[in-house]
Amino acid sequence: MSLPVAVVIQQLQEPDSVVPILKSLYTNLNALCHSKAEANHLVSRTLNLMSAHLAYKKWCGVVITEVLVKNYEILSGSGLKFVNALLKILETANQSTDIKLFNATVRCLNKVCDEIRGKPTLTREILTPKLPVIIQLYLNTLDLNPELIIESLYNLMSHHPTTFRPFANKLNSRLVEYLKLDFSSFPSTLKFHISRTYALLPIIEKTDADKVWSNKLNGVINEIVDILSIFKDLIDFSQDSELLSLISNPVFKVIDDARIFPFLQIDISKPETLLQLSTRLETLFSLLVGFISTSLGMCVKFPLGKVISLMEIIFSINTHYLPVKRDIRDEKAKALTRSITIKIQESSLPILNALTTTFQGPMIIYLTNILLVLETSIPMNKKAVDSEEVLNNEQFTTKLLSTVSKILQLVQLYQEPQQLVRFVEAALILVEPRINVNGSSSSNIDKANNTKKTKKKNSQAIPMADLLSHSHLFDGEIPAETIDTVRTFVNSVITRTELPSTQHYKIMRYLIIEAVKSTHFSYNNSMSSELKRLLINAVTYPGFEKVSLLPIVSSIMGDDPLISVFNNPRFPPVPQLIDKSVESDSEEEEEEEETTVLPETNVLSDILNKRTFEYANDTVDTDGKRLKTEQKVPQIHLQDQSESISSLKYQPQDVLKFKESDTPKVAAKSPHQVSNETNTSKHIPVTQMSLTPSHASTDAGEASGDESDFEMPQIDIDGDSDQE
Amino acid sequence: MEEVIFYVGQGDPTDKQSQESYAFAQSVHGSRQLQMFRNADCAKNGAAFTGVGIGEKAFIASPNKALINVYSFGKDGIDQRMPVPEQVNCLAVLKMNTSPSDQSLNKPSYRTPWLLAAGSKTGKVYIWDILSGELIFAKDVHYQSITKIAFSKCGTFLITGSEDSRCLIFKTIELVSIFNKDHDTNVKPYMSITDHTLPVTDFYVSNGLINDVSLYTVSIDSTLRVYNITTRQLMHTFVLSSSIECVTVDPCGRNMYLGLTNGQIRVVPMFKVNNMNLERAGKFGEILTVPNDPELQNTLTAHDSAVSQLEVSLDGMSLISGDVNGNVYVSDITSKQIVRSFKISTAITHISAIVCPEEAIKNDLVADKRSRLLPPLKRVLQGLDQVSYEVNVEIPEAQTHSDISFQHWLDAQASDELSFKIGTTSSTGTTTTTSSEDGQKLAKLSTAYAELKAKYDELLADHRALL
Repeated sequence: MSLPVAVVIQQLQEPDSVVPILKSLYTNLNALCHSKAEANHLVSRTLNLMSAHLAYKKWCGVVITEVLVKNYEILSGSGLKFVNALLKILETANQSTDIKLFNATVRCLNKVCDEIRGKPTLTREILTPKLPVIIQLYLNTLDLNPELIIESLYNLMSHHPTTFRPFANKLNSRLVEYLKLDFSSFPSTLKFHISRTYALLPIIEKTDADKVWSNKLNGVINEIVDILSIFKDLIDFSQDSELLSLISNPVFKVIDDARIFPFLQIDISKPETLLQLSTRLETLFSLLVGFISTSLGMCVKFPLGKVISLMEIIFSINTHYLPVKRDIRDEKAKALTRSITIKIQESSLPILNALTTTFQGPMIIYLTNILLVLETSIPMNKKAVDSEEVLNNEQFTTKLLSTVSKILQLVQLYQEPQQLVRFVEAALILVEPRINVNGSSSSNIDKANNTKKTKKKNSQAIPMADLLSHSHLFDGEIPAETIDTVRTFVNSVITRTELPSTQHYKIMRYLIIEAVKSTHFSYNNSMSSELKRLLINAVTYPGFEKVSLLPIVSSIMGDDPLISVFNNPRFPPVPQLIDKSVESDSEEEEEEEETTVLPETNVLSDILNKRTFEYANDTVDTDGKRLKTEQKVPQIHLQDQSESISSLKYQPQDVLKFKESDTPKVAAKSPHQVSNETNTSKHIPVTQMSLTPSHASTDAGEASGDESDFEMPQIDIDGDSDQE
Repeated sequence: MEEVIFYVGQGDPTDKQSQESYAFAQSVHGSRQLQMFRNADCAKNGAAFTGVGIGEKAFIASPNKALINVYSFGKDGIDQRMPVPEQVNCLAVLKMNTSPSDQSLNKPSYRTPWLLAAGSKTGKVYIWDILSGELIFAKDVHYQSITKIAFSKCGTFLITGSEDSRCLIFKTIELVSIFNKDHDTNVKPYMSITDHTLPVTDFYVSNGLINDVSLYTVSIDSTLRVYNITTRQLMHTFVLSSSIECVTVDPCGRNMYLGLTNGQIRVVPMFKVNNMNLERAGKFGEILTVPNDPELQNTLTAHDSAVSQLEVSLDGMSLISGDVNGNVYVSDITSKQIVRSFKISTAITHISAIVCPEEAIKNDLVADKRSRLLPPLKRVLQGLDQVSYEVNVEIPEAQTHSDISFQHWLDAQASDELSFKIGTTSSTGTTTTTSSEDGQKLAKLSTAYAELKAKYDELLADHRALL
């Protein structure tokens, strides 16, 4: 229950709790306008709170303002006062300020700006004069909550690029400062806000903003390739001539002035310095993703081929195929090089995801190339996928599968299933039951077994005893994220391609086992929507299938509407004409007929321009002018569904020969005849939907006195009577 | 919501500059004319529209010049004239988003399609990447003029029909994978249809799952053939008594509508009744003869001359048809009455129906030229370097759902308030009040309040006693 405004005003003097006040204000917001005096009183109390000494009171004032500005009258009357009060709080903000108060103030100020934006007079009177002060204060307080402030600055810059122009350099330098900090360890939302704000900065340019944007983007790409070329000294590139030619392509040449970061200091004798490579690249990848996904609001020239080539370079630097250079003998450095390459590949996957989301169609040009390149990052052991390696790099494999499924979703049909086999194998390895013992432990088990024969009590075997007798206790849990990703991937694959039989049956086996398990262990025999979708897709896209999966799926989830339609196929009802003369003579039925509306025709015509069909002949001449032709609008009698049940009428009996049907003959005459008929004829055709067989059978049941679930549609006689 | 039809005429051959030629965007259910395009005429199927409203484009191939004219919605005149290697007959565009994505993106101010395909009089197919202007495919695929070119709705296939009686189906991915090392410039069709004996005049590609996509082809040889594209099988053949000019199919495949040379529109149902059950017409692979319909039970007779274009409305209840005399009729399919009619002076060569929200039409701001104009289409097929491939595109903005519910916001405030009250975080630098002082003050106020309350209660009791 909301409090009356008068009570709220009273409580604002010394608020005990602001939550009920906020709730009341939110629900009474429109009622506030009825009494201007109360509204003014409320505003002045709120302003008083904001100018109080106590942080709590200030905070109360700020959050109340956030609700009040939703009311246009209050906003237009007191908007400026609110902005001034909020700016005053921001001016005094420093490290010792309560962060909750600071956050609330910034959010409230953003809210006020959002509410004012788009309203020309308010913008001119309040927002435009105060905007420079707001931006300046935001820049000054950036360090208090970088995530919130950068997000706010992004919004201000995208909406007011001209006003933002004087502050762009300062923001740029602040952003670069953040980038040069330990960017890779920042929270992901902060990384996202920094990269997209950096990408949006060229919007403030007076002329050729697109060119500035393009130069900045190319600078980032070139700097990435420049760092990747360091791997020349770690990995033997000479075995991959294509990689060499790509990496030395002149389009990737870095212009020193355009560099964002200083040179890296890497010393092979200190292997830990190699880690700088991955952290620097991760930062640059984030920036690149920002450029790909941030809208500048104008047409830009995007170097799609260059970015795809960059991805090819990243995935070609692969220690599965290229050996580490012989001069590096330190095992630690070798191991680090291997793990860094995987880490780099993992952190570059968001680039592909962003490209796929943004460009869609043009990405199809590269689809085969990309899948080929990504395929190389699946570790192989001889001819099979290396399951141990896949599990060791679970996070990378999961992200890789997610990207592949996203790329596959660009097409509806992909007829090169061989390219997907490795991914499918890797996906199935990830969801196989796991045992939480590593290779060395399992060798210990063997040892333990062998030593038993010596009849000596081996203390080493004691910890292994549980593992041998209760192995199920050691089953590793598969992370939910992995399961979700694998299921999404499998869904993308089975709906787009016909996999080889081995992989097809493996997937089907997995699906059925999971479905049975899921329903069995669920209290109400339910399963996740993702798994349901997968099972349905397994039926609708049979792929390589000798024995249908439908019976199994029907047994597991027969109550699913789609599976039910699959098992009981029905054809769509066909629109039909019924001559009015066929209809019942009884007055009662006539009345019903006049007052009922056929759902399909009228509902649709209501949607389309909210008017019923105008049965008038309008002619438009070559000049586009409408020539009016006198024609009376015929009365269209529409029949209710219940009526249609008692007089089933179908299409002609036999399409092959198109015999005359038993249905009453319907006018199908020349335009002139039609025109005459619409004016004079009493036999006005009636639009009616014929029934599906299932309806027909229901009706038969009723006729024979059987009970049926079929419900007659409720007819609102009063509601439609004036439509005639 | 508004359903809009675009119709374009053939133009007068004597009017070289197409001064008297207009194309129109017209509401199907209202009398509203939404847009007129000047100097717009084309050969049969020689136009392609991306949609209705600001930001949408129309591509219309000039019928007597090697030119493709580009129009922007909201602007009557030609926006760009694109010279092409030869005169093209028919056009098709493929949008950027070939399949639904998980992430919702806002539509940019100008929707640029991805591919533009054209079929020429000499039987050559051209495909341009509109975003870069590059010609990425050009090849002689037919022996005679191409009559229609179209992408399947999902963009997986490109289909061409020609006067050489053949219909070819290509996989789009094979045509555009120009940077694939194994890319064969001599792309072979995915499926080649050679069953027709006379020129293929029109075809229709159905919507649905990729396994269910059907192709309906019609020809002057009076046959309609239905193929399953995925299985590459001929499913049905319907033989009519007159040459067929155009075809369209009900959105849920209930009826096929055939525009005949004699001006009739023949409705061919896909289902028949057998003992109260609906069955699909004809067995698999069967040849069905559609008999004459003297009583006009399944025939619409609105037109006096050959029907050149057909389209079905969104609800499947209206048929939009154009003829060689320039008449466009919107007819109610069940009653066979003409609901609405439009006329231009020359033969109708293109009709398409598009549904859009009301708001799309109201917005009247035209974007600046820099965003609106497309890069010119290249006229030569040149080996493109992968690294130098650039696309001109307005990056779409991700849809943000900033409007968190009030309850959610209130919960956040309640949480903040709680931390204020329990004093986990030391508050404000401006205040000097300590928590102990607060406590004392609170106790004092509480006592005062209790006293006041007691007095008030007493007064209230007295008052009640007096009453």
